[in-house]
Amino acid sequence: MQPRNCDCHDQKPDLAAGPIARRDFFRLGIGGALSLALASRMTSSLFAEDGKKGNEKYDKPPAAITPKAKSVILLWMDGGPSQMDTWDPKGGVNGGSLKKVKTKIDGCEFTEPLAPLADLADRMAIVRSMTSREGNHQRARYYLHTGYPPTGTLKHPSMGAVASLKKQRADLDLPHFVSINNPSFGAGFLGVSYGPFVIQDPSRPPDNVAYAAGIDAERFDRRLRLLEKADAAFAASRGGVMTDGKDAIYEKSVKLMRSPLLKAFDISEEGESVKRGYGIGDGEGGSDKKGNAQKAGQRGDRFGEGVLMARRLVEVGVPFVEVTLGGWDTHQDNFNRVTGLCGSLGPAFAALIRDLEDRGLLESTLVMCMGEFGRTPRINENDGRDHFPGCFSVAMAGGGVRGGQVIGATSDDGTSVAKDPWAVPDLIATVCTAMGIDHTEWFQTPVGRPIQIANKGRVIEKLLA
Amino acid sequence: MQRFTAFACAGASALAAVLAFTWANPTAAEPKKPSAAVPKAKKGSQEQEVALQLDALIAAEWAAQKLEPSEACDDAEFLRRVALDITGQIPTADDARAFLLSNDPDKRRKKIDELLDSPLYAEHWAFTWAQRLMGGSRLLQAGGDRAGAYREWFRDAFATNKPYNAFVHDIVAAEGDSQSNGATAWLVSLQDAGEAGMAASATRHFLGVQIQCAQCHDSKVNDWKIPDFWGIAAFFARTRVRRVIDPQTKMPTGVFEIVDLPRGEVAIPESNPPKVVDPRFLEGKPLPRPGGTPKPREFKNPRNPERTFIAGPADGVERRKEFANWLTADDNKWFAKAAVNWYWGTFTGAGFVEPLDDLDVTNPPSIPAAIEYLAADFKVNGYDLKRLIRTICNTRAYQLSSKPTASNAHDERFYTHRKLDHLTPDQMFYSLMSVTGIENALARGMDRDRVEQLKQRFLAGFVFLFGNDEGEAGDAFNGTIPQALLLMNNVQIQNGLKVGPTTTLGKILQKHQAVEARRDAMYLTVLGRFPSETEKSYFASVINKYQNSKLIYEDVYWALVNSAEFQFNH
Repeated sequence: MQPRNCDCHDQKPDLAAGPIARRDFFRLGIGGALSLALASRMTSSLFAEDGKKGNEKYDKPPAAITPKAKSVILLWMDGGPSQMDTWDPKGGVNGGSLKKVKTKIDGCEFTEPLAPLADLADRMAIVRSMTSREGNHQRARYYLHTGYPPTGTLKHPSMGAVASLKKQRADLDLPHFVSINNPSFGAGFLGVSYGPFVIQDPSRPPDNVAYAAGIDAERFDRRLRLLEKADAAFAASRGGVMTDGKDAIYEKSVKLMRSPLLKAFDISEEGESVKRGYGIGDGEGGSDKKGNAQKAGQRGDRFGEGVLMARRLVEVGVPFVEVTLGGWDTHQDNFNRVTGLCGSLGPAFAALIRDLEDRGLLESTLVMCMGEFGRTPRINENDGRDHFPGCFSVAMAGGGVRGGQVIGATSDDGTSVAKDPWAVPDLIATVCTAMGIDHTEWFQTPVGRPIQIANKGRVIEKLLA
Repeated sequence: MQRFTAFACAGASALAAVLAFTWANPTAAEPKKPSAAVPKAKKGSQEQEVALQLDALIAAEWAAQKLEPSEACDDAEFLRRVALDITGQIPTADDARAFLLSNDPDKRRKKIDELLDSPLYAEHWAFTWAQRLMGGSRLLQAGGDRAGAYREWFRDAFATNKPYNAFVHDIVAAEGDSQSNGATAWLVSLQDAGEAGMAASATRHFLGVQIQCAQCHDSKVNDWKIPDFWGIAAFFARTRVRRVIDPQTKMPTGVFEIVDLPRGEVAIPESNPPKVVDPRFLEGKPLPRPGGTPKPREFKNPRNPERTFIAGPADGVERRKEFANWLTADDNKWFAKAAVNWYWGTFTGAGFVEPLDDLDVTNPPSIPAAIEYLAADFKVNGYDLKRLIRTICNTRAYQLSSKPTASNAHDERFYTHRKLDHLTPDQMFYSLMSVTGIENALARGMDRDRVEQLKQRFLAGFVFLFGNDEGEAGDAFNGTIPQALLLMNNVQIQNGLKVGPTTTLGKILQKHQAVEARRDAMYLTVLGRFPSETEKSYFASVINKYQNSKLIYEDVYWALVNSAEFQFNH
């Protein structure tokens, strides 16, 4: 088991132990001069340990691994999916009522509602031995997104925010971190510029990117010229980081409004058969946050639409997209509800893998599917399962993940990790490594506290090897 | 998710209703007389005296640091700043015009008093404190009926100028349920965080002491040790937050109650056998405990192995109340200082100590004599918040221009010029209400509770979009693309910026026919000032070029609202 993680000062490299190299600045993508101005003031100075005196606690990414993932799609199963009714089925008294299906991985079964993925299992890796101690929804959501348990004082950046910062592309006018159906978690101390661009309804384009009624490009240009005039005197007398930053954000926003890539957000360009492949309009509505069955066109479709939008965004190079499917908090009626949810998840996940493969993008796109914790092996009196952070599964595909393997195992009754336990920071370190982000890099928070991207994580090497 | 969706749902009608409410129903009660502890003096004059003393201490530091302050801010800058800081919204055009044209030499002092007596003061500071203490709480998210009681409680506390020590005591020692006692909100918001979260939040917010690192390990930047943290947590070990069950349906309701159990202990995490920690005040002795530290029995919570409940004997000690008493006592060395530092920092843009809630000895204040002086005045005068604000706003330091000079541009610690701040979500919300003026479309006799609900939902959307998470990079422009897109293109806001029968701009054009009068009214409405000579001639040329069409007025007005000058507190 990993030691209890704490985000505090104890991670500071021991200054006496070796020289600290001021190795890198990262660029803050809100405009040239500003980036430089901010770089020295904000989060910029990164501390790296001297290679020779490296501390085992802070493993460098394994040199043997070539990063392949240009983008990550996180399928977020909000509420805590039941591992035993999805990726890690069991028999016996805790096994539950769902049937099992064989998959293309020898000896690995999924439950029947995930049958659409059985044939694709050779592209997938299932980590069955994830373990954590956070059993409260909000704390665990934070933990799984950032690798750190929440603390009162410091907000850690989520994986998407880190990707948005570290995988910046000058040629991409779109936000680098998009979260669909849920605001996800923000950029914390990295600053709001790296936070998620939230899509509430993937069936239509994002809010406020179109000209208001009565405004065309010409009139909008006129307005921008007037704005430039209006800002000039104020900037001249009080100019600096703040006013430059405001200009840069407006410039980026206008670029986004006028970007030809904006159509990546428009799934109406896809044909009906493609949409049906993602479970859109198939009459399988899935269930809402509370698990109530919904009519077609509601949540189940929202997920399919979100996954389809994610594929389109990755195609134009967006580094991190998160799509949420809620409703997994199955304290009651677990088996019917999981079946319904898998009816939304299975087809969309399978269609995504196939589409990415057809387009030659699977190798460069890491798809991962997880929630905030697992659920109890014991079935409660309401035919439900309760929160269980002790064991849970993560399913992954693409992005350099070696498919066709199962990592780790839980005990026969599902109550403990039997083999090869992995903690949440390990998972984050692995995702960073797959993307070519050095997870051991030190960030400086605004109050000068050094923090690593991944909280002492060890890379799950065989996942990527 | 909920917050964002709520925002999206609040359509144009909601916005109209919101505005209707804002204008039609100023709610808060009349402020009561100040507490008896405050010496009765001619209103304002005593605070001006204190402000002078404070300025002298600050000026001494300028001399020592060889710093020159910027010039004093002009009347327009002052009015906009003080209105945003005290009431959370920009002045109306009429207010701005009257203030700018007044020749009263005492008008700034009078304006401070007037704003503090406005119901908007209570509204703004209730929101600010609720955000500060409970901002991220899903349990208290605006919009639900259950949020009503706490909003009312906070509003009432500021409207009646409840002494700050009583305000904090009421919150920390709150009893009863969330419907009948809004002061329970802080505890309710921390129910998932448990005693450790309550200990961390109370010490950080009310004392400016950061002990939460010692939850897991002895701190390496200050002297706090694991038992210091758990010694505070022990005061909350018996406090539980439970959902009230409806006696008829037997179903849980949206109301929470605070329950203090007769027994309950904390132990050092992962100590085996559990090492029970006695409740102990910071730098103090443990609470006397008859019969000594108990040998506990430990119960694991099967659903959440992280949480254990350790029972000991019932000893009749109301621990949480004991803690509240110590926290707010006059001899608590942090309490008053933490409060004045937070207020000073919130009003001037930079605290005596930064971060505002880290008063550790390893993090000394910029001007120690100044924070000591202000804290002493606050304590001696009955923790009177209005007096504190009046003092701060009357200082020369507060009333300096935001235009830096060549020599002080790099100063961020000694108040030589006003720092630019992004508007807070509620400042942005109410200021937009004012410049769009959709409130004029009101008077549709909507149920007041419903209107309040819609207002809170829309405001929650702004908190989501414009919120500044604690711990974020502080000195960069806190703007995001979604914020900029909202201000440039959002349908409701754009409708409000048009020339229409009920919009503010429409009213301006109706009322004034002359281009110059329209121009002045637009600048006063959005920026709280008259235009400069350069702006006057530019305005004239643009209006002329587009033949005085209503479209060009809309475009200019749009540009003013999207300007940095509108979006910053300066």
